[in-house]
Amino acid sequence: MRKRSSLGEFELLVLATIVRLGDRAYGAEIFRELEEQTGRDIAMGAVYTTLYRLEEKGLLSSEVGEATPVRGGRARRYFSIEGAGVEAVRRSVQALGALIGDTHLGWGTT
Amino acid sequence: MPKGGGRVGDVSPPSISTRLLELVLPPSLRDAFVGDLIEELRRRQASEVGSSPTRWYRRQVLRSIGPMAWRRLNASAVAQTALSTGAGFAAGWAWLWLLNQPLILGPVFRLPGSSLAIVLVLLEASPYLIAGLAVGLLATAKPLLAVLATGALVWAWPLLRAWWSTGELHAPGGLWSAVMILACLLLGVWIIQLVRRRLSA
Repeated sequence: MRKRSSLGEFELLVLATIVRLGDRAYGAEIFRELEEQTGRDIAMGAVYTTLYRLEEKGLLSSEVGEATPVRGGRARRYFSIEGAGVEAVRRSVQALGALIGDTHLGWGTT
Repeated sequence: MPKGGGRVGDVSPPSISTRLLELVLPPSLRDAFVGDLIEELRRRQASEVGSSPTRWYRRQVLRSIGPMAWRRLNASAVAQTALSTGAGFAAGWAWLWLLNQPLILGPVFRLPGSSLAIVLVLLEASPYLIAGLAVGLLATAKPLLAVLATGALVWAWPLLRAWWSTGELHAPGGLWSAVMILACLLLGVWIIQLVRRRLSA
């Protein structure tokens, strides 16, 4: 059986953010949403290296968008999650749910 | 207006930081990355929340330069080979320097005859093994090319030094010397690849 690569914590956060934002999420939007939802001080470089690593793994695809004056005339790059990416997120969330289960801490979903 | 609404400021991004970032970014990332930073800079300026937007921008550039430069380096097999060859050579040379310190050599020469011979052979080979470990760590794209480049540099180094100081070209070291250097380098690379496979399993 082919070994499936597992997601790192930040990779999972980035993928989940793209799922949340919907198709054609772009870097600044993903960065902003990640900072708001996690409360972390995130580096844009970390977001981009993760986006490109996920694209190399085939979990995301990207396309160049339009340039806008607010961006100094530079084009956006939009990211969309692929089927394999959705599956990877689903597996990770399922695994976490199964591990946490009905804990004495009251985190359980049952 | 950026997607999602909100006002937009008109502050110009710090030019030196932007130029620096553009230097290290791979061409495929340049527009999108810098554009995102500028868009976020202007959004922060318009929202007037938190610390100075330009200070935020400079901090983002500083935090991003390392990972982005590393990514660009790794994308180029030539750059990666050059870096890993240099690092392998430097690591081997540093180890050799360490071995020649009295604190290390002193106890070695107090060993009994039979053990001393074996230890000396291992010590002689160890700088090349250390170089191989360094090459294995850095040369993820074409490790064999890096091994050959490092081996050639290590083997030729005594000749280059002699030529530099005396102006004369001497005969190169023997075949066995070259074989030992290559074998130790390959062993170092193999050890790193084995550790990587075990860690990722």
